[in-house]
Amino acid sequence: MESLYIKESKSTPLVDFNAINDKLIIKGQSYPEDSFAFFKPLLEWLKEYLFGKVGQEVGIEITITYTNTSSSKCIMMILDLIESAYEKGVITRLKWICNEHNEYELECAEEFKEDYTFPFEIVLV
Amino acid sequence: MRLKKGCTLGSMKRPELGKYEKIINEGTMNVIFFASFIIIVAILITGISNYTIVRNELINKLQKQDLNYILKSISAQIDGRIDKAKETSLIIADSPETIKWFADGEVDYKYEEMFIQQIKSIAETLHYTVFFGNKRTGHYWTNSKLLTDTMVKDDPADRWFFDSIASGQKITLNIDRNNELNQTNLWINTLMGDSKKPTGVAGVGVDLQDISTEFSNYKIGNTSNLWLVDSRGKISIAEDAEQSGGKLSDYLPENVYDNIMKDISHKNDKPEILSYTDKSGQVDLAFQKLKSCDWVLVFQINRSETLGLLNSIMVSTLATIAAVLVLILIIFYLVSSKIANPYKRAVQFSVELEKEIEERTAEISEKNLKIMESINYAKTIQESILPSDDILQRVFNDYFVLWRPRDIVGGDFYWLKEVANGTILVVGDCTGHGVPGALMTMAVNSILSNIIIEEEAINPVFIIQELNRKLKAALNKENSAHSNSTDDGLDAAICYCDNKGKLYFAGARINLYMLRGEQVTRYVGYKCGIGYIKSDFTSDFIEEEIAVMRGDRFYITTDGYVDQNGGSHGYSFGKSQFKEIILRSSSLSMIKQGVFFQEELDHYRGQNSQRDDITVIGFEII
Repeated sequence: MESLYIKESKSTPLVDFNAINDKLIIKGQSYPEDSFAFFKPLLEWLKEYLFGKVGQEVGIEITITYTNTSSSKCIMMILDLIESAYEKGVITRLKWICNEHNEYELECAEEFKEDYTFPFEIVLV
Repeated sequence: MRLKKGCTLGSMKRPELGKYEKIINEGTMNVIFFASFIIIVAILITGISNYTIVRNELINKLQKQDLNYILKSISAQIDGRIDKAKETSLIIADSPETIKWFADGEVDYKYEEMFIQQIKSIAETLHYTVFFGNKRTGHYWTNSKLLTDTMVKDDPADRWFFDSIASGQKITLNIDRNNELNQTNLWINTLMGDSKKPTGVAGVGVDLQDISTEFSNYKIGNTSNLWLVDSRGKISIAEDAEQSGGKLSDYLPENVYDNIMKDISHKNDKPEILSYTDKSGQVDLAFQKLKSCDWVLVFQINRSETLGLLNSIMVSTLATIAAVLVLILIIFYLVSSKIANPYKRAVQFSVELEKEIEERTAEISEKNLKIMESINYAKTIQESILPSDDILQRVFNDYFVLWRPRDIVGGDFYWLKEVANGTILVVGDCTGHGVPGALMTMAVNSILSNIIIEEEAINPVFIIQELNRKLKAALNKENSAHSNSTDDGLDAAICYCDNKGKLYFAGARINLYMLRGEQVTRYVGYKCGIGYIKSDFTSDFIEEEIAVMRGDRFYITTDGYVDQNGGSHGYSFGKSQFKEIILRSSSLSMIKQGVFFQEELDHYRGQNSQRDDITVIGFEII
């Protein structure tokens, strides 16, 4: 499967889904006008990718410095996909990286973490 | 909408180049002029150097070769003829029979007959005039007129005879010029027998007129002159018959003439060359003394004549320049227009683009203007659903409102309804901002009105639950088929303030802050938003009941304020800092606190743009 790479922009995060070394990275702020349009290809890619990863380990690294409401909905969809993959036997290892000086990042991470059961590690840097 | 003509550049009408045309033409012309200038300079340099070289060569050749050659060949010819005539004269003058016959007084009639036959034959064969003069008898014999005369010492015409005898020289030369007959004769006067006691004078006369014809063969151009001059400076033979018999001094400057005459006296028979300038310009002159006599040949030619060839070089150079110039102009025009053409096309292209952009910009501005008008009107509508200051003033003891949509309209709103025993205040933040957000606020607004009136609800938890249900229904969220489409909703804080000093609060992702004295208390809203697919307000969703004390201040803010990025690291403003500024401004009046909040945020934001719609409401109930 081909990797997915989207360069960071002013209102969208860097997306680096590497299908070769199984490392998925989302990093930056997300507040596009049409969040769903931005996240749709990510969701489709993930769905297909995670489907073929049962029994294998997948490293996920997320850093969100800011997200608008609609983007956080989309991020939740991603986390939902991870949750269901985890339930199906994909060994997901999520590191949510937060800047300890940015109150927002930690609040955001904690809010997301509450809803999920898969391994969700908040790393303060 | 006006459809844009979908067309390639090729099919477009070429626009006028206007200001660019001049630049292009100037560029082309500059190239042409510059190139022409260089080539003309090159041709001129070549031409001038050729001219100089050829000129020097020509003058050199004329002086060293041509003039020498002409003089040598003519002098050799004349010398040859004179020498031959001298030989003939010597032979006939020294004939012993004739000397004896003359000395005897021409008495032997037999010999006379023979003598006459002899001189006739010589004259005919050698084209001479043969003459004999007898000293004893004074008889003058010639081949044409026999015994023509008897010479007398006093007759000037016979003077040559007596002069010859008196000179004692074996041979003397004598020229006589007959202008009427256009004849110049050279007479070789030879003393017969012993020079000291000559019997008479004999000799031949040579017609030199044919030499003057010969002269014309050596003439170069129209202004050259060839003269044969005797030792007294008289022109004996000239190519131009009118000059014959004239004086050489009439035709030459004095110093040049003197120079020639001086040279003759030195008996130098090598050609001499000199140049001088007279009124007709530079003149080259060569002269040579004849070997056979004291005569001198003078050849004179104007420099301009010599350089006549150069004129043709000059003319041809100029013609070449003219031709090359024309050719260059044509070639360079073609070449440079080929060179300039891509440039021209590029300029044309950019002009076309510029025009197109202008058109589009105008189109966009027009559309933009319409959209702005439309949005500005939408803003007045959105503002009209917000509670007016009058109501707020009536309901609250004191208050401030910051309502700052990121765009002109937005997803943030606040809503107020007076009910039987109190007031319901709602602060909401719908997903999205701008027009989509504003549309949501309108929908939420109408659902809220609906709930409060139809259900007569005052309980914030119930209102939120109802709002959640009705919004989902309105946005088709119950239909799983649409689950993959957008998922919109809102965050909200709802307060019910009754007339008995109680405030009931329920929030969906929006908190309520209370300032009491120097203490800020945060009442955290429920973790999920309203109207989203997954929104579910379960039994743990309860409301806060607050017994309000005099001076208690309440603050509700949407995330636009606390999430605004700024500061030195670009982090969000944050909830803790929000609490801090409430405390820091607690001594200010509500209205001033509102201004302070605004200033604090603007200061924090700095150059960053506003991220989201911002709404902050502060109020005092009692």
